[in-house]
Amino acid sequence: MDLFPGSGPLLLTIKLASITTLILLIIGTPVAWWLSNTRLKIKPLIETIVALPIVLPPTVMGFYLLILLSPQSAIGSWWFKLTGETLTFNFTGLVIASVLYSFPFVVQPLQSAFESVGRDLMEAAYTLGAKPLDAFFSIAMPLAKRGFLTASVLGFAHTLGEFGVVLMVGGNIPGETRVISIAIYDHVEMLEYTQAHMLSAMLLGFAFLAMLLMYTVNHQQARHS
Amino acid sequence: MNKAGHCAIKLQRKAFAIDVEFDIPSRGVLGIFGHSGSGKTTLLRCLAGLEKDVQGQIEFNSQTWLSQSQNLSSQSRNIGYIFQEDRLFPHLNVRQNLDYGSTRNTANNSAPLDREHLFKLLNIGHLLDRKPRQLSGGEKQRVAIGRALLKNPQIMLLDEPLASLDKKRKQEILPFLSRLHRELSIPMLYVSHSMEEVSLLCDHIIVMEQGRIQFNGRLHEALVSPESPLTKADDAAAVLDGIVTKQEKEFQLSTIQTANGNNIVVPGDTEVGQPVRVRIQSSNISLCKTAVTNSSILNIIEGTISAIVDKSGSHVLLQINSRNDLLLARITKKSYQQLELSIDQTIFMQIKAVAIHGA
Repeated sequence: MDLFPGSGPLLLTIKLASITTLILLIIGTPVAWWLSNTRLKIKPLIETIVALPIVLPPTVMGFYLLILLSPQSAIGSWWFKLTGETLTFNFTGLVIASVLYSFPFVVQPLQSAFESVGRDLMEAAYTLGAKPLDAFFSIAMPLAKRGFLTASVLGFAHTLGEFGVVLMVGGNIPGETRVISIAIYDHVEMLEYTQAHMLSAMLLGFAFLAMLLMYTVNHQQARHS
Repeated sequence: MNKAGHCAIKLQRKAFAIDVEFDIPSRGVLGIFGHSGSGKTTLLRCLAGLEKDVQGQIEFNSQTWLSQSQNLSSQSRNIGYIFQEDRLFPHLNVRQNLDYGSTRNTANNSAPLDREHLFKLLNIGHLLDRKPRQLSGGEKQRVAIGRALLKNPQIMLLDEPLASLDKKRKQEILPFLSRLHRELSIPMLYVSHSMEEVSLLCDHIIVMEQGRIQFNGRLHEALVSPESPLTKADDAAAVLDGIVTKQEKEFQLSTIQTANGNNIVVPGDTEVGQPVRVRIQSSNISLCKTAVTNSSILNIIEGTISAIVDKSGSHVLLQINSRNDLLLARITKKSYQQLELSIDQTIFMQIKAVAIHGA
């Protein structure tokens, strides 16, 4: 596992961020599509709930999630009966927490991308005989691909950097919940500045490259269309 | 009119309401004419299944599109829809746009339209590999028309397809539409606020005002009948259909003959045998009690005054019958009195050939 010092937390973090992003795209797409199309009065309410993790202190979210996922709660005990594992201080629980925490970073870019596709082209597709799902995959998705890229990068990068929620829900179990940001914190606590430097530099470099990729691709596509 | 369907619908929106009932023809063009805000576009969208909360009944080709218990979705109504804007899919090239509908329409069992012929008719064969953004406005709209037709629909719904185009592009597409009209065996519903487009394309016309039908009838009568709202317009004009019988290339003129036997000289050198429709504005006809000779005016046609359509302003609008072809002449009240005109009187119309528009 340990290819080099700190590779354990790094690989765990990438695994967590990848799984989280994948789940977020699967759940976030229908939510974003619904939000971009609905004229229901409860839309602002749903948008508010989706946006909450942006403004909420991670410790607050972490605290509620800890209670929600604990073996004493309905969800936690159901999961325990089903799998024999707890959701707190465990990788699965960390994925659930990350999905909720990064939700707005995926839903919002998707929603605005879908809104810019607009109803007009979808209507044209319907009059040409396309069923709603067909029209979504053949028209809305390809036209919203920049939104999907932005959503993926933001969802991934945001999960990569989370600290408070992980600490509250997952703790600090090597190989299970000890992600890179926790590892950095640990190293600093123990005055191991060299290791902290290394991991921090990796995270900084990765964040920079991810954002650079996103902006470059978006810029190129904007020039093409 | 042979009917293929019937539409009786109501729609209540905050700002306005639609309440209409009419027959859908089995072929030919039914124009839906009205000023902006009269509800004509909304009516077309209701027919296409693009509006929610529509009440009533729509039947077409013995299929129920809308009833109390049923509301067929857009994709299940076998329509071809042309929007005001082209609405081509920007990420697909022209060929993929054209194929979008044809690959998805499985419900139709009639013989598919000949692609090559359609490409030729619309002059889009050379554009197939381009992206929509590389096309001009007129080309885009022609591709959109092709896309809707290749789906092989049972009815075409056109919502001001020329509205977003400049005059030159309009002149480029109008002939395509009128040729399509002659070649297609399916009906077309054509929404427009342009009297000229409606006059040159339609066979029947519905005039809409504030969400209701103000007039519904055959175009030729609607244009000249005293009861019709169309004769209230300043540019009231009649149309005549005919076949080109003579072509004078050196003068850029053609002579057309109507089914009733009137001969009219029109500008342009259209091929002999071609069907054309000419629109003659009421202000371009002057009247004489006797036949004038040695006039610069090429068309002098005898007729009788069949109705006084309107004399509310400073002018009098007269309906004139010549061998059952009905035309409109607008003259001043003063001339009307000086000439001592009255109904059933025989009269000679002088029609300026240059004032005739053909399609």
